[in-house]
Amino acid sequence: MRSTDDIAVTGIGLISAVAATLDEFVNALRIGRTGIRQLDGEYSGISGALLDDFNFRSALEMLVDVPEDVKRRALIASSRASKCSQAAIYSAISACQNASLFRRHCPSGRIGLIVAGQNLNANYTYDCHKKYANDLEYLPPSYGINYLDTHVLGEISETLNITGPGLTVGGASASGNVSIVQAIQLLKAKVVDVCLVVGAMAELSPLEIQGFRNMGAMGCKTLQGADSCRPFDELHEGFVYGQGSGCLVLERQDRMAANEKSALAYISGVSLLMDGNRSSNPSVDGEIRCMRQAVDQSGIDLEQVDYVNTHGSSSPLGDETEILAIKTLFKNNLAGLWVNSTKEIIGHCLYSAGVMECIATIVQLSNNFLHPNKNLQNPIDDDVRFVGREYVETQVQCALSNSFGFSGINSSVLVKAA
Amino acid sequence: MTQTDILKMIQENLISILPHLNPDDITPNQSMRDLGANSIDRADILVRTMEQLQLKVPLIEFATLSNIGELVDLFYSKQA
Repeated sequence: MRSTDDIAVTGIGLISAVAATLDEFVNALRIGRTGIRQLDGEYSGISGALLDDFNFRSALEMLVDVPEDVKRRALIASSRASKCSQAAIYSAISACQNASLFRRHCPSGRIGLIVAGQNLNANYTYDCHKKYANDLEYLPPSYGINYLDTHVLGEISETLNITGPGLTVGGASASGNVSIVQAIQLLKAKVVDVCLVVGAMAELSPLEIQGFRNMGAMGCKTLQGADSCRPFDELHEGFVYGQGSGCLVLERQDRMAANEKSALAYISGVSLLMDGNRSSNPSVDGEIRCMRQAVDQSGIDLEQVDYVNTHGSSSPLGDETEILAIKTLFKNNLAGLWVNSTKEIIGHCLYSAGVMECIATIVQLSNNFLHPNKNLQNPIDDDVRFVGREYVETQVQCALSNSFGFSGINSSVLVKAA
Repeated sequence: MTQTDILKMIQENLISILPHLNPDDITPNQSMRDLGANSIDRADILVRTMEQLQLKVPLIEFATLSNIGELVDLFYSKQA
């Protein structure tokens, strides 16, 4: 079933509110433990899964099999960097270690780096404005480079000595999947032999948070804390903010044979399609087209898809749209298709969601289980086979991971088990 | 602020940007560039020190300085 054209995932790494290592992530997923809690201080009024326990220096020290010069460069690159930068550098180093890249020879100019995320400076700019608006002469000169999303690219490139193509990609909440699509294109065109895809953490300022709240997009209207994010449940109210960063190491199979590194999973189809809509509402037709295209590209039949890691943001309209799209597209196979949403566990990580949820998909495939959604007490649909409130032990072969973003951006990734 | 105070301030600012350095590594006869600070790092250190001393000195005035000792002296002389 696997084709030699499929791109191999050889390494994964992440930092999330529920896990700093892959083992921690597997455990959190299996029991459906959420990192979402009621927030206070500058975030009072909402809940979220934040990275407030993350200490970059300690986390870096705990990583084994990482060369000392990489750790040293990481500390220098991140010294006055935002949490977003630190999380991205950490997840990239973790994934490279997981892929044994530090031990394998790969010319640095043949490694690509794509950072998924936009407006990464939102909170940094907000804080600088608060502090320096009346005294701009004391604005740190590094603002001139750090306000750009590409500063994260530079920091990871310097830390890991990656000198192939590098870019940031934006796709709103679909940024993560968009970066995977872009990486696949670079790999298949043989512009690179290895490509790192790093989902960057969203550090929202009070402006973005209030914007989402005023739009009605954010949950936490009546429910807070662990109850607040409930994808596909009748009490869903909107998305719940999550902070996290994830990294995938992707390689072509022809290169891997020479290097004897086995794949964790394969990406055999991707899709990226727009709705022709500038607003925030999703489209059933757009999601159907998007999922179908990823499945078609991977050369399998719709009936072979046995699991969908949904976008599942806990938005009433979003959830309903996605369920209808799934029911329509997979009408011949609903009984054989499992459905869950990782956002209940890690929150909506916005720009990095696609990468982190692809990692969640791979972790579930590799460990033969599908994680529960503890808050799915009253599902909005009776025909779709939700994993539900207890985890399921099963061997999934072909999984679809969806991300749908504002401005009509749809993206799906088809992951095959190794 | 004495010159010793200013030197300490610059050492702390350098260490915050280059965390592998120790205060003993940073002596007046060295330049920030020698210690591994790139151009943006150096500009950040200068502006942060100015903010801490509540001084405003055009960055061009630092261009001809060759080491940390001369930097300390310049800041010291600019205090009212």
